[in-house]
Amino acid sequence: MIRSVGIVGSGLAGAGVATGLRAQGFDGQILLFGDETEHAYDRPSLSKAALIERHSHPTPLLPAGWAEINEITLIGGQAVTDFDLASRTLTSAAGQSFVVDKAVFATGLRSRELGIEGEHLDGVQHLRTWADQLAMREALHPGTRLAIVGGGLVGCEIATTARRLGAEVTIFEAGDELVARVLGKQVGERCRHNLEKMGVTVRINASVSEIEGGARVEAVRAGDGTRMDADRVLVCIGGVPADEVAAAAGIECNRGIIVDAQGRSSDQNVFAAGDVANWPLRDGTRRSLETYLNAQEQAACVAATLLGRGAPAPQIPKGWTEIAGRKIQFVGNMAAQGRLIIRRRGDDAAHVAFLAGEQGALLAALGVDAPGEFASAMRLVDRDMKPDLAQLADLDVSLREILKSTRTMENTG
Amino acid sequence: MAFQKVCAASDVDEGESLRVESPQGAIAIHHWEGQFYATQDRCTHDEWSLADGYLEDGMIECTLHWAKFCVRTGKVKAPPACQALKIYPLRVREGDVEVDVDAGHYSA
Repeated sequence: MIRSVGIVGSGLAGAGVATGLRAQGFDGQILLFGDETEHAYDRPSLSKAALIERHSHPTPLLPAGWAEINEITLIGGQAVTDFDLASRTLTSAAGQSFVVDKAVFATGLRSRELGIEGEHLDGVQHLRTWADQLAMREALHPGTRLAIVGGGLVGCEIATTARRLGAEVTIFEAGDELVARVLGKQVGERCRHNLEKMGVTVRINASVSEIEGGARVEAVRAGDGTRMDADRVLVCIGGVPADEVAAAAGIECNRGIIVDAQGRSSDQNVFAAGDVANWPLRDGTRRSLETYLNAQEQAACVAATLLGRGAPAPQIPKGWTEIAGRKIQFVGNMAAQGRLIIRRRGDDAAHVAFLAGEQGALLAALGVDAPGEFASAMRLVDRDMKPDLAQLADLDVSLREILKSTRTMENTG
Repeated sequence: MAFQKVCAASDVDEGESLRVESPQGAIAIHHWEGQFYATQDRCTHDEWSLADGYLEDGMIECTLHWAKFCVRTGKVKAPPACQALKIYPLRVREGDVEVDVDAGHYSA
């Protein structure tokens, strides 16, 4: 019988575990710790609508009053700095200690640092929190020279937003293509061309060796020695799972808290969900996923596991992004090896692509400006269905029909 | 307070949703397990039509960011949405789907 659960981290995963526990009837104490003053807000919009539309508050994830209604004790504005495994005691930065029956870490990621000279100058920032977004907003004006270090999803999203706000934008990407790790090279190349059409300068194979300035940032120096004047630098080269407190407590960690497919760590009283969790994937590998939907699924799974009803939930990555005005959605690993099947009408930019592996298994799918079709594509991949591949390429058959007929076949077969 | 025809029942296949216009904004008609339901069409999270969405297990999923809503109550079943949908009284008369478009409200 669990009397209390302490959840460290009040973002999507942490709040998801808390509300999930209540939804499933848990009536013990729930303590939810957050190091920001704002809890459970939407992070994907920080690089998009929050900046463009100058939101006055972060977009909440849950209806007003959710903590009170669910009798969740919020302990905000202070990080949990210590966890004692033997006594299951969480201690906050303010020195308060709380003994819990079960602890859940949902601490997310912290931004990866470049490890170069000038990285901590004024005007150099990351983008992960509402406060980061406010700082970026203050800096972005028509003509602001913005250097973005890292051409991943966040870098490309911010480049899009900053151009719309009139900034002069340069992306420095150390690899040979934008967003290639998540979306594959072909999509990366299209994103690059589309960003360039918007007026973004994209430099691939371009590392940054130094950020120059006196009191504040003045320029970025690239690995090849070229120098670019900059008013603001955004460093977005990915995140590092914030697993320090768990690791220090003796929980097994390796780029995240190592958990099984139900979110259980190396200790029976400790769980993890969301970006801090190094969670098993369906393809047999494991890692932190850094995606919204997976954090949500993991939170629901951990809540169920805590109440003894969990089922293994090996993950398949799912996400969305908006780059240069295109809505891109993906499921699975588009950068894997496989046969590409593209559904596209003529030269239309909108399309859905599948990646098929051996024996006709669908490894991944990607949609560009095709949310309706992608809803079916995602189900085909997510549910490990094996549709007829020739039919998948046939534009005369909708993915919805293929999904229905494949499901019927598999149910009866 | 008056029901008016918005479409024919046969316009909305089982498991599908249809967008219809009304002076009070677009309404989505959902056909799930033999029953019809009416909700506001616009997702409460972002500008997107729910009738383009995916109807499954009595929930409509927005295809943009995959928020889910119960078609019967309008309540949020999955984020990123956090506000419920308006729902509308609906009846089927002689093969017509009729909705009281002025009586949109939130479920208790």
